[in-house]
Amino acid sequence: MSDFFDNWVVQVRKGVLELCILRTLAMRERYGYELVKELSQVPGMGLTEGTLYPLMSRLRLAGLVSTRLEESTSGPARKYYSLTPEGLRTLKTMNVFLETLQRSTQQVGEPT
Amino acid sequence: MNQWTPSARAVLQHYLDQHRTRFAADGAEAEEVIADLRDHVEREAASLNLSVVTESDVRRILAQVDPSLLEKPALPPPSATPSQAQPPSASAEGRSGKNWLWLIIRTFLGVLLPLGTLIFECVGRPSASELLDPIPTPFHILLIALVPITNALGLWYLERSAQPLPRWFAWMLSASLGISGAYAVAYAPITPLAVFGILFYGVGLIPLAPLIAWIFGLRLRSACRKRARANSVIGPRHTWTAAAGSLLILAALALPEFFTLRALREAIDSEEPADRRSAIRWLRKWGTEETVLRACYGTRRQMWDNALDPFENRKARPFTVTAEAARSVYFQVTGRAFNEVRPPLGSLRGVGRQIFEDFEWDPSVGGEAVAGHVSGLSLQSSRLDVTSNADDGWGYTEWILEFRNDHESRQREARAEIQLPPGGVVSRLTLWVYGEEREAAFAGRGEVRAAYQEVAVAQRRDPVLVTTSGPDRVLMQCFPVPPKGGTMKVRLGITAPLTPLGAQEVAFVWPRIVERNFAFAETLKHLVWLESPQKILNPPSSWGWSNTGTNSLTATIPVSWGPHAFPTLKLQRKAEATSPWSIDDRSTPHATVRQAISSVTNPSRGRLAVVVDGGRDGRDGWEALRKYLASTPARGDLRLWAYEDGIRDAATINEGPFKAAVEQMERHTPKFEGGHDPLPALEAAWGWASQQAGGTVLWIHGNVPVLLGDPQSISQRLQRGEATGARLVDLQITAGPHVAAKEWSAQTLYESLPRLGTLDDDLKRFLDTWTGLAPEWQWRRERSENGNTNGPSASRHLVRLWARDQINQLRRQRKTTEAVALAGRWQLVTPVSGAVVLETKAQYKAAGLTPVDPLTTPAIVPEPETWALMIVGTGALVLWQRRQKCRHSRPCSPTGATPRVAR
Repeated sequence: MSDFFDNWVVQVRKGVLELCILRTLAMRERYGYELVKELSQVPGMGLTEGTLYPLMSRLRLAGLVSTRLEESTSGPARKYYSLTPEGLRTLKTMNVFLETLQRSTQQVGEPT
Repeated sequence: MNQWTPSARAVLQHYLDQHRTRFAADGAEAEEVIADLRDHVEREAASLNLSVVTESDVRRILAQVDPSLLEKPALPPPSATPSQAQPPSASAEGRSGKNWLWLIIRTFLGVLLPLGTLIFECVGRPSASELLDPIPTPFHILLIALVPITNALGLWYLERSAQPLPRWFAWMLSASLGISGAYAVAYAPITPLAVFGILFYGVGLIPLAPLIAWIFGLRLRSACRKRARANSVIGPRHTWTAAAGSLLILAALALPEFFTLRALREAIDSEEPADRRSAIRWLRKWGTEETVLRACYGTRRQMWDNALDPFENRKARPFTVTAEAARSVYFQVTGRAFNEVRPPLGSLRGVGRQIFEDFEWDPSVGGEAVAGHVSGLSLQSSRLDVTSNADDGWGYTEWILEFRNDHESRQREARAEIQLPPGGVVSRLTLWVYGEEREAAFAGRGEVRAAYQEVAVAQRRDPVLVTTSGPDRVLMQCFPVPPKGGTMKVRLGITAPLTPLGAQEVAFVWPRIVERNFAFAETLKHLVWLESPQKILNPPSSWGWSNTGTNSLTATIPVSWGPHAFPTLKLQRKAEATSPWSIDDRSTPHATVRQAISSVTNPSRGRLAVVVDGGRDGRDGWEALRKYLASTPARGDLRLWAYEDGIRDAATINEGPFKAAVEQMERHTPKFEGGHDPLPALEAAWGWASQQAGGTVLWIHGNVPVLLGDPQSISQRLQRGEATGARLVDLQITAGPHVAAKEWSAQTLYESLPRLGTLDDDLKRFLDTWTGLAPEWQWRRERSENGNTNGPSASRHLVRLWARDQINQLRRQRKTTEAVALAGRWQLVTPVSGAVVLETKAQYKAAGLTPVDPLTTPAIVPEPETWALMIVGTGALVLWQRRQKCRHSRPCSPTGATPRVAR
């Protein structure tokens, strides 16, 4: 039971992690450190900072997010992430799909 | 900011590198993730306010960030001290064979190919000779070298570590991209051909080198940006300005050639004369000489044609910068003949460069022009043997010339215009064929040239041809000098009068090459040997001298000493030796030719018109004239013109002292630059001088390698002006080409002054005799059939010199057939005759020519049959004379003897 649940949680987290990132970026652009810190604080996500960066890189390569560097007075240049138009479209589609999935999931097993 | 220990950085990099493969397997960009994590750890360390970040701090932070990063703790060796702990190379570990191959390919394409192409071009100049010159200046080499250097640096940085590349490198790379891009565009027209060549023939990589280097540079820039991004480093902005800067530098370097070609074209085909003159002036001031010279050699670049006028319809209006037109402009701009200088080699010298740069194809084979230098051909040895007799007034020179052709594949024709001693004539021509001496056939000019062209150009066998090329000049051409070190050896025999300077002094002038299409071998030395029974008055101090038995001068003169190494020699003669004679036994009836020296002091003549060249070589003439006029007591009518871009009426003296012209000259001194058309000034001078009987036009000028106007205007005056008694006297300052003389040399009223010494001396000699201040010494030769053999007998060179004079006389009388026959009998090269040596009897037969008997040619040693012929000839003359007398007066004895004692 325990192993099964753990695996399931990993799968669910993995499935919604990209969505969380895109939603976070949909509000405004964030620089890498800030974004990682914010997402790693999300309860229930069990996210480590080390797993986020590969994901961000993958999303950039997929064309969903873009990056830009900006000089910082307090240290090295900051790498800002933002959604691309493609990322925004994908996010909307994902949201719609997730809502549909949620509704469908709740209907499963209910008496008709 | 906290401070990191080297080992802390090394450990961080080590842990992150351990997961490189995993990051890549997750679909991420490993470099970027590693850089992001490094940045994250650095920020964490900063947020912890650590003054010094150590290895343990790094491990602690990594444990917080992601414990899995520590799961493969392959720490650096414990023995490594912090200073020794280097960040692992970005690719040092686990490089596969495939990666090595990729690195080698990248190094080849980005570094070795552009570098090798640059070196190849520097050494061989294949592109410069065929397409475009990518390195016209050394600065271009530096610019192009930046490309492989930049690429090599970029590769090294990327391979050495995962650190971002230095900021200055971005500027360097941008400049490099500008350069390789510019050259890629320049070579774009042949890129498809190069691709085709690679695909089908496996060659053509070199023309593609700029394009490949440019693409490599773009990829390098992309990798650098990725690296910077991965390291959260912002690269310098506006690096495109470096590319723009390099393009501007290239453009600035190309502009002189561009504008020079534009002006060259304007100078050639502009409809307005004023525009043409303006273009010439611009070229003198701003043009690049090498560009014009390259056009003279026909190595004009097609790409420039389109660049000069991209909207021009080439079919409707062909580009007019032909080699011939460019040579004319080159003379006007520089005042020199294009073949006075070596073909354009740029600013560099390199192994084999000459082979690629010179003419590969010689379009002038068999023609009547010396034309441009050809590659590989050189004069390897030169031997001058002279025998002379000052009392009898003749000198005979044998000049043996050996040519060598070092070209790899092409046969070459050696061509040279040779200035003979004043009044000289070629009386012998020999070619060595398979080590044997073959003597020439002497016949009509057209016949020998036709035979030469048939054998040389069509059959490509061994002939040599000598024809006249103006007053006291001959054109010698021999073909083929075989490639790969092959040689060809010829001998010219030159009979010439010794120029009388007075009753007891004559001058010997050396023949010299004034125009050639070959180089002088660096080791070339002229071997000189002159013998004279009479004393040599001015033996050069550096020459060997001996007077045992006969006076002899010997010297070995390196070619580097130049033409001044051959000074005019003065020989002493007996004043009483006034009338030597020789036998003309080749004409019927036989006769004696007698020579006498005499002096004439001219009374003051008519008007003196002086025309001075205002071009590059004219300054010496102007100064010599000014010096003479300042010191002469002469008076009379004098006008002086100088010609430059226009005519300058420099001085006018009406029945006054010539001295007064000096002041006027000061006010009208020309600029002495470039080369100019003398014809308008000569026409004006002739018009003024011929208004009174006995007028003289003295033309003092430098080389005339091209005619810029129609010489017929002067030819007509020379032909039709006999009634006025005017004449044109030509004094050439420099020993070089003179095409106008070829046009006018047949005219009686045209006279070319011999150059015996300095210009000052020669000018003074002429003007003093012209004004009657000094006597004019001259030889007179007469042929007599009366058998008078009184006085000393002399060499038959006297007869040859008489024959030369007689041929000129016959030409003027339009008795060309007789002139050719006389030239053939005495084996002379004259305006109506030439000499050609062919290789086989069949060739002679086919051409209708007969080579001369070697026993009848002149020689340095006394001619083999001279004495025998003299005895026989004298006997024959006496016998013939007696028979004539018998026939007309009284019966003779059966033997034909006469009772009178012969005188």
